[in-house]
Amino acid sequence: MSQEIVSKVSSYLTPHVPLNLIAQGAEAVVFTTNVHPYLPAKDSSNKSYIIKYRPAKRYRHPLIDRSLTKHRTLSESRLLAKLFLIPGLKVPQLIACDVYNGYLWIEFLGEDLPNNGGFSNLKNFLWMFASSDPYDPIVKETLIKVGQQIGLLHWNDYCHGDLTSSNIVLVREGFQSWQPYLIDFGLGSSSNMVEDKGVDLYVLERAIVSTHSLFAETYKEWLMDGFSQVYRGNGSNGEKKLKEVISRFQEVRMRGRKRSMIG
Amino acid sequence: MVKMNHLDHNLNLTIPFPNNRYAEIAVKVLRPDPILKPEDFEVEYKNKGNSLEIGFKSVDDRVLRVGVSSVIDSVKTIIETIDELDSV
Amino acid sequence: MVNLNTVLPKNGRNYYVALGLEGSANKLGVGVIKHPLLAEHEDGDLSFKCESEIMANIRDTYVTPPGEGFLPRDTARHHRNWCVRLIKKALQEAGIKEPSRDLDVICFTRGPGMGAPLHSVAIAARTISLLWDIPLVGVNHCVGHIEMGREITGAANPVVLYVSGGNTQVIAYSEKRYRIFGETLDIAIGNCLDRFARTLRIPNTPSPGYNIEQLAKKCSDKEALVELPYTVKGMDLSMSGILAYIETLAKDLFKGNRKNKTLFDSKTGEQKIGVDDLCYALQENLFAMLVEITERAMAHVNSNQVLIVGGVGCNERLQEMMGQMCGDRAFGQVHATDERFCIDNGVMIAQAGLLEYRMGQATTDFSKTVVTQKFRTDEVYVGWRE
Repeated sequence: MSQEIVSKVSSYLTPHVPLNLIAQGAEAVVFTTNVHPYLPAKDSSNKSYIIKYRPAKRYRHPLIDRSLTKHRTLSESRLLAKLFLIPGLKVPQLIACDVYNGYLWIEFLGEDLPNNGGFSNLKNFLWMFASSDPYDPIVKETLIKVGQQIGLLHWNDYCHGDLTSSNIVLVREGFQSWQPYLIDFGLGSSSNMVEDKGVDLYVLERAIVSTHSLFAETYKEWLMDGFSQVYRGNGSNGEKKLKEVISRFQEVRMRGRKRSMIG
Repeated sequence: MVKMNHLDHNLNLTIPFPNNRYAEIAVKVLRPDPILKPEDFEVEYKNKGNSLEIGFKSVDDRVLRVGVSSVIDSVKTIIETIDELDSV
Repeated sequence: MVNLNTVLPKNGRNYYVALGLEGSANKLGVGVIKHPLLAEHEDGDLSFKCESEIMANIRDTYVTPPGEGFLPRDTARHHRNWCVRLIKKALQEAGIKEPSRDLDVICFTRGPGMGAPLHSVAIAARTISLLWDIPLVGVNHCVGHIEMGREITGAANPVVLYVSGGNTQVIAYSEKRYRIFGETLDIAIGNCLDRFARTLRIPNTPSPGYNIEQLAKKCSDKEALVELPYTVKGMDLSMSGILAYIETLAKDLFKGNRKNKTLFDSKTGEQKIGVDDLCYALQENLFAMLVEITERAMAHVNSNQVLIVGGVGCNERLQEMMGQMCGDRAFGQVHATDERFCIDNGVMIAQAGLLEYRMGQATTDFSKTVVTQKFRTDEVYVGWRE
């Protein structure tokens, strides 16, 4: 990764903000820092924060690039702020944002998995269990919780837009339990349209099937169990809406399969 | 009880080949492809000596015409292939 | 361990020879490929390094007049008319005098694609299989593109962007299958470009996509860009909305509808935007979406290699954008092939089919050679990879 990106993001920050690169995602570069943007230094010295920066993409036309960066940084900030207030929904806390330069300052979540299993996102977590017991009760419990988080998100009329196992971070809770947090809302939106929710679930299903192929059937079931629980917890109205979302999800899937593939 | 369509529009074709082997090849090449609507159209391929015999049964004229013409197209390809590529 | 020499070459030869027949869309292609028998192929994941030699690669395209797409019936007729002639010519070029002795396997496209054209080629494939007594392999068209791309570029395990008339997929290998990570939720990129070309009456020779690329280069004001919808959904994307939007613009352009402020200056009524500007905007927008979903898949599977295959993969602007994206990723590499291989051809079918044959996946049972319009990339068991 080029030094250019690091110096660019440094130039937007005040001096003396240390940056420690931890990941280069598709559209953002993620750093940790121990500096909080507005709390006094002594209060924050032991804590880490995330700086998520969307560098300009050379491959895109400058107009497309500027508009996407601004739109995504802004919408991610807005969504995080709103979602944080929804009871039961777990997302990282937003600390600061600069939409024109394309970076966010957010709460740091997660840890490193044991035995060099990598960062504690759902993908690495499932890969870790794939080699021991892919159907471990902890896996089941965690996937149901993930489903619940997505259920809560949809029930409150928000969509994620890029649900994959990389975009779900697990935070340890107690001895053998993990709480999933949804991250990366750059493609997210506020939407009450069944179509958007159906596409969201389809994108997730595809990500699970392609990344965790051998166990995908069971994993999908557990995810949908958690998802349905949230809707069913909302009475007959919830039951009705659940049916709508699921039937649209199946329709989106069929559309994918039936599409002709000529040439 | 579902009403069965009457496949009463029939046509039989006999296509002579130079030898039994070629007629047999034609049958083997044509036979595997399934009919899209078996309730409206049926085809049977046989070889008798040096000849390829095709029996068509159909619900109406139109379906029969389309089906026969498509099979003849395939037969033409087979014949051309045999003529041009069995020299070796 | 994979043993690519599971089935040995015929007649004690020290090389394999395969004939490949492709006819899933408007191109009819016949190719002949040769793999040397190498000891290192007995154990190891070396299916991208077959040291193949291309003995013949010929193609005939069914071209339709401007404003018209190719219809299945007419395309099938084209293939029937040319198939035997092309096979003859390919064998001649490859110097194959006695196919029944010199060929190991005959490979043909079993799908996905248009039913009638696929079928017309399959009929010829079955006939020569019986005439020469050589087994058949029915190849998945997409897998053909991937294997040819890997062999030509030497990319061992890339994320594959497959972009053609009927397909738009981001693919990566895992657990004996080519898994689809992202794809279009509605129409394919090539289809989108073709239909766009039709509404703007851009000619179909040599191909609509090529002409759009050339027109885009002529765009005079690249600073200003006609704004189009940008519709990426995770690793998937949608293109029908963009097409519908640009079709409305095209209609207004031809009608000279001066009320359209995007196209005409509101004060002077002068035309601001021309066909070349629309081509430029369409390419910039669609390709940015493709590169973005590819990058997302790379980040997701921790890969740094990209291989672009399929007809749209010849587009130099797309290759350039992909290169820029990879340049900004650690050790990023982009691989692409030229039009001999990225446009549908017979060699790619021979390459993928020969790999299947070498693993013992060929057949003489013709019930397994029935063509299918829908044949998903992840349905194929990839026995030749670890």
